[in-house]
Amino acid sequence: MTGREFASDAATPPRWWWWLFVAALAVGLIILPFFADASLQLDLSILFVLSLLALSMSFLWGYVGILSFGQTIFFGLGGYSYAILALNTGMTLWSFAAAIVLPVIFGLVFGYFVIYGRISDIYLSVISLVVTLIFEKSIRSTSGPEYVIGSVRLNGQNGIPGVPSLQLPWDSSAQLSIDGVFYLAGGAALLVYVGLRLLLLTPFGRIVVGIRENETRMELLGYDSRIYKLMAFLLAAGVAALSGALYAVWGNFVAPEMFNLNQAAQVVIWVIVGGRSTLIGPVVATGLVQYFSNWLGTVSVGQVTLILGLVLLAFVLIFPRGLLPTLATALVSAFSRFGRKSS
Amino acid sequence: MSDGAPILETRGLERRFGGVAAVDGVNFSLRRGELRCLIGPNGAGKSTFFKMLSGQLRPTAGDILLDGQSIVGAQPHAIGRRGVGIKNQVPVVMNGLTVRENLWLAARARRRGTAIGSAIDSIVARLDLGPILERFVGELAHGQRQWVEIAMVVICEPTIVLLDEPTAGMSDEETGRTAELVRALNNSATVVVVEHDMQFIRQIARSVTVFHQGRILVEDSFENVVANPIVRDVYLGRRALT
Repeated sequence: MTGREFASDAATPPRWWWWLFVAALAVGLIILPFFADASLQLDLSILFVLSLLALSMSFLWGYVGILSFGQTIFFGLGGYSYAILALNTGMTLWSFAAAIVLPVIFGLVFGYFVIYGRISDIYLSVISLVVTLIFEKSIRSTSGPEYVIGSVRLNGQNGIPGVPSLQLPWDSSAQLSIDGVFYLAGGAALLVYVGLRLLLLTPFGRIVVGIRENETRMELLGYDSRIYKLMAFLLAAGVAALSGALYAVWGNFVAPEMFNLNQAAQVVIWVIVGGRSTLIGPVVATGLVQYFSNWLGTVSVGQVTLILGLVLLAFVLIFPRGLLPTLATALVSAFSRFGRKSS
Repeated sequence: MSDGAPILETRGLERRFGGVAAVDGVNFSLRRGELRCLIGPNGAGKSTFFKMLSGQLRPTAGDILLDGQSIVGAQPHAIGRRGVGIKNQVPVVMNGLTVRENLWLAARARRRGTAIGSAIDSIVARLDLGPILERFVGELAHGQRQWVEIAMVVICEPTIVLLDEPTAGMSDEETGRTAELVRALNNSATVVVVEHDMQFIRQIARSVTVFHQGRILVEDSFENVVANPIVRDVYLGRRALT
């Protein structure tokens, strides 16, 4: 393994131990509700939900090379779409599906203009951040009773409470239980992780990584990089929307904070801390950062954001490639030294 | 395989950067099957000219005709698909990927299925890339990266090959092999080479176009160009003496 910022071996099929790892995760996921209490299940469920958002960013930034500072656009739109549709129609499953489709349609319009307009990378980051802030500010200003969609008041900065959980497909009078939400969020996170990893082995995945490495060369070879980038962007938008819809299902609540600067920056931070050269790194970082900021909150040091910021600064300086890749390199070199000594 | 019809033609081609005309009204014509060298001092507009031919830069004025059809304003990928392959002056390669993956991406641009593998195998054998196949392109010496880029161009089987300083950073032995490769390429494609290395040009060129200050100064056979006093004055004089 070399000191690369981005993954260079994405096209190499995973080894046997990766499948073992995935199987272990799946087994762990299935048996955990039998041992864990409801509060741990709820805590882990939200981690899975946020992991999906991290995966969306990790794929888009680490493998396509697009730093969208506003993946929260789709996260927030997913949440709000589900809340508004489910409260209006009562058909939670259809609402859930629409809560993924609608943000992707918005992503299609947004992505078409920035990608086909050949907006440069840095502007794409800025524009996507501005768009998510526009959503936040707009929704914040909908407190009045005149802001109603169907029968649902948008409630401005108070958010929409009482969002129904998902009904069971076979019994629409029963709602998803806590362990049901746990299985759904965990299963979705695991499936998306495995799906994205395998997607990188396909011609589409390899071409997208080629575009990240050198878009000019790919175009000179005859690839229309715009269509590949747009497809990848929409895929990431869909994953972020899934995360947002699950967030609404998990918390029965959506609020403009889903779109705000804090949330948008956090997604970037997860990927920086976890590293851009693996998909799983940002997922691990999501857990660590969430746990750390919760812990900072409970020990009442005040200034949680400040301390979190300092720690992140230290991280970027000490582990510029991210935590997981750095650890992996250290482990590999330790093993090879050990191997040399013993032989 | 020259048959007289121009495969590529530019009319009054011009590219300005601010007030400076990097290419200033170039009328250039290339017959099918030709092997042409472009020479000229640094800043003469050769690389800008190449970038316009491949769609990487848009001309400010003038027209480019490929097989009689204008390609001005076409996207680079569309021009690539029409059979124009280019190696830029600075290698444009995927530094973070292996040589094999670079070749796969190039081969996949035109092929599907098992044809991809056999195309890679044949280019690897032809350019002797076997020993570096699993290395990362970013770790290779400049000359080797040039080879990888040339391989990526060749694997697409272009009808027009544009090579911008293909021998920069190469040893004499590598330069000789590049000259052989260029001549072999010319059996199936029309080739234009930008070079400074007179030794190399002597080995490959039949006709030479001299660029100077964004215009074509002279267009003639290699012997006549070298003997031309104006060319010696603007370009060769200084270089031939060193």
